Amino acid sequence: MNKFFYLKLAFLNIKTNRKIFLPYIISSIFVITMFYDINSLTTSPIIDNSFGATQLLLMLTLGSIVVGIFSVILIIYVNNFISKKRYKEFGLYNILGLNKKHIAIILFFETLIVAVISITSGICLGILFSKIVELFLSNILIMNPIKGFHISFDTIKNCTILFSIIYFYTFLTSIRKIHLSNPIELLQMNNYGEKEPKVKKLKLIIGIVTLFAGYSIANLIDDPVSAFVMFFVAVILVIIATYLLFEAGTIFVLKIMRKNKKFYYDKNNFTTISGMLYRMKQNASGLASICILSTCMLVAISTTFALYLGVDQTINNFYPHDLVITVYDDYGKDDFVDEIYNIALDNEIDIQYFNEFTYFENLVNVTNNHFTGENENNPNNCSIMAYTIDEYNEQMQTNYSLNDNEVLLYSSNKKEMDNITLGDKQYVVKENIKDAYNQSQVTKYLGFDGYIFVVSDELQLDNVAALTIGNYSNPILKQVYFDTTSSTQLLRNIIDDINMNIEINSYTTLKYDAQQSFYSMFGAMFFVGIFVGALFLLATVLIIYYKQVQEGYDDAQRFIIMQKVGMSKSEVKKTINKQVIMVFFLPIIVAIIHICFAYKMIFLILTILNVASNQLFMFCLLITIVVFLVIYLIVYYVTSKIYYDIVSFK
Amino acid sequence: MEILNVNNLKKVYSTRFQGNTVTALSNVSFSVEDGEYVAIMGESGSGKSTLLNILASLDKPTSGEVLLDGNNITKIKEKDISKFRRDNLGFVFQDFNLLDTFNLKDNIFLPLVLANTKYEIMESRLNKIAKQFEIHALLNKYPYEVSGGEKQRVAVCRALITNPRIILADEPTGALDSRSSDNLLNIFNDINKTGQTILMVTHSTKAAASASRVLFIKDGEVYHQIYKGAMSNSEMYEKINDTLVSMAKGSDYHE
Repeated sequence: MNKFFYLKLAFLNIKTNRKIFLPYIISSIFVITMFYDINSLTTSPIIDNSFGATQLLLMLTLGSIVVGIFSVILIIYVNNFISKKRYKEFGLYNILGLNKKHIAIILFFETLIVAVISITSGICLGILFSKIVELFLSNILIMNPIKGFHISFDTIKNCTILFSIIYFYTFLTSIRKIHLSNPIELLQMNNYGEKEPKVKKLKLIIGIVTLFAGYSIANLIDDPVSAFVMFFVAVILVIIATYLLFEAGTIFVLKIMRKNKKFYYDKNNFTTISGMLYRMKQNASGLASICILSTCMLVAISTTFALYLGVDQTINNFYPHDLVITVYDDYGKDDFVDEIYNIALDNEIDIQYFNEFTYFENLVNVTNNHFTGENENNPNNCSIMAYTIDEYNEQMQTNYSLNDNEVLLYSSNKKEMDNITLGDKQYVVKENIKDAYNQSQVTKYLGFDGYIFVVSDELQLDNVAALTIGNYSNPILKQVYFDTTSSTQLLRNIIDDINMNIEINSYTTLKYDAQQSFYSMFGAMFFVGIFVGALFLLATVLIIYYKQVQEGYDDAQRFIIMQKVGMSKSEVKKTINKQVIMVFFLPIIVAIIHICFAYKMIFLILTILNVASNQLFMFCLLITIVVFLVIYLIVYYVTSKIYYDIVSFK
Repeated sequence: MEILNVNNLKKVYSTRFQGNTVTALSNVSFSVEDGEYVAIMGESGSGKSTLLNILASLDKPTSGEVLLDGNNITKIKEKDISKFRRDNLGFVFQDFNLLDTFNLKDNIFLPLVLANTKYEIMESRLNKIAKQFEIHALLNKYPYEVSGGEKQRVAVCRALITNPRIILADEPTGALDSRSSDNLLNIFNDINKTGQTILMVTHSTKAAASASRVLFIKDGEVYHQIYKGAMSNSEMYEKINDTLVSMAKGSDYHE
């Protein structure tokens, strides 16, 4: 027997088993294409031309690591399924006189063929699509498209090495299984008797408890900071609950249905219930995985989508003005505001809005309603800001007046207080206000509660500033705001002029720069979100496809018997459809339920990142779900057809 | 009274590319009396299975007709076939064909459930039949928990529970050891004595010898038949064997 014989046999095997090999190869190509594209972006000129180059590079590198890890898991999972499906074939070869070494050679050639086809087509498609992906990314980052076509040889090398190792690993696991077993075992591996599944009471109870706990945590928390911390706890609880309840809960429900004689011994339910009982036993963990994967995918895409669409609003929250000059030491100059204004006029800036704002801000400790100077890293830290009632009235167009011992209080956490103590001085809270001028400034520190005190006059402002001393002290700041239609270049010019001509200590914040950096940050997140989401979707589709094929082979015999004892073809088809629909849509329905319960918590976390609009997030979530459902329905249509072909021996 | 008439049955299979044709049945005619126990014998490839599939309405003949109680079953519309099969035919298979997702009780119930029978009626029929076949203790077990002989007894129960006009058995002893085979043949004789019509296809001379008539099929035609009459089982056995030998030799024994 020469080597060509094995090669030919390997080719033939792949051809005859195309129902399981074709999806394997196609999805491998898809995964490799994706890996190539995201990995090649890390070496693309787009990085150097982008604004937040390091952020972008970090995001893309992280993304390509996630895609890489996920590809490994996916390929190994599918390969395990395929080699399980083929035990019988190998047992037969063994009996026909091929020893295990020969089978290993056939397997080697099979793996080689799959690897060569997948890696070369994956890289070729990757190169083909790389320009589109690059254009997509530059569009998301609102950059000008990069000229020219860029092929990353590093990425080609990375792809080839990574996936060759993965394929070699799958080859090793397959031959290990063959070596460990004898031919009779191999022949019979697929058809051992199935015991009736038992209801696992403990798992059922733990599942219900963890689900309840997870859902409660997600809905009882009201402030964004604890939401951020507890989110992962809730996620883990719900993941545990999903696995347990798919395993124990479904069987429990089906058994209850079976106990009801009238319901069970009905033509429409009889075969479905008993069929589902066995299906759920074999597929519980697979379906739970699908459920969790699709939940993750929906959350990943919808949140990054919302962040991206909400980026303008976020910027407006953080940077309400085109140019802000923050002065922290004016060296006793009284007229620097006028000087700044004159410099702007000299540069022929078109000033739409000009204002000054005096305030104090710092991080301090708070216990109940007692604020003290910050002395160490302490969980009670909060961010505070204070300004006078005159500033407030002017900006908010109100007409409050305050006594020396009175304040207006704004809390980012919507906490209400009757009185507060700042250091050793007590103030009466005249009113808990819902909106305050510059309120976004106290919420910009991730994870800290924010408070704003509106005080009666500058004397009281000094008193607030005296709260913190030594290393932790901050001066009272003065900010100068510009809104303008003039170009960014002109603004940069006056910044230079101010720095050169006015003797003050200050720093400037240009909205345009912030915008660029936000777009590069959230754009990159959105981009990676879509990439990883697409991969999750692929995984979901693959798992479900192979489950259906596997079950098709198992169920074929069952449906023949049913036809022989008097079930019509249309009844068989109805039963099949019912089961396929349940298996298909149970995970998705549960995923959507999970998201409904998680909605509040996710939204709270998004508010930390200042995507405050409920409608926007709802919109993004709905779009994501609809797109996902459409793709899922197409997959359902294709797989159920293949399944039906298998069970009816077409 | 004749319950089943098979007239000039012909079945030709054509291969996928329309090139070759294979004649499975060339011209088969026979009839079965109500309450009769008929065995059909023949070598592999003689057309036995094709014949049984047509009688079971699982397959359509190329020409000819099959009359059950005077109704031509080859003319039944596709959508009515399964109902017809459920109401009139009971099946016993070589490999039992029990569903491993159902316990034995539900396996027996299957045809009744498909016919939308009330649970109380199913229960009372099962009680009667389970007593007769002594399978009460097995009802809550699953197919993989019982022996082949027990499985076949359950399969016979499943065939009988619909009170079919005729039982079609396809190599029912094929997968059983000799004790279970004897047991099953006794059961067939017992139910035949209560008036149940049985048509059995078999390879086994011993199984055929328990029938009241044996039909021999060769090359798609009825070649010969033997009535048991007053013969004992062993005399019948001898006679069947002689026929099989002469069929194998190719002599014109039947003329």
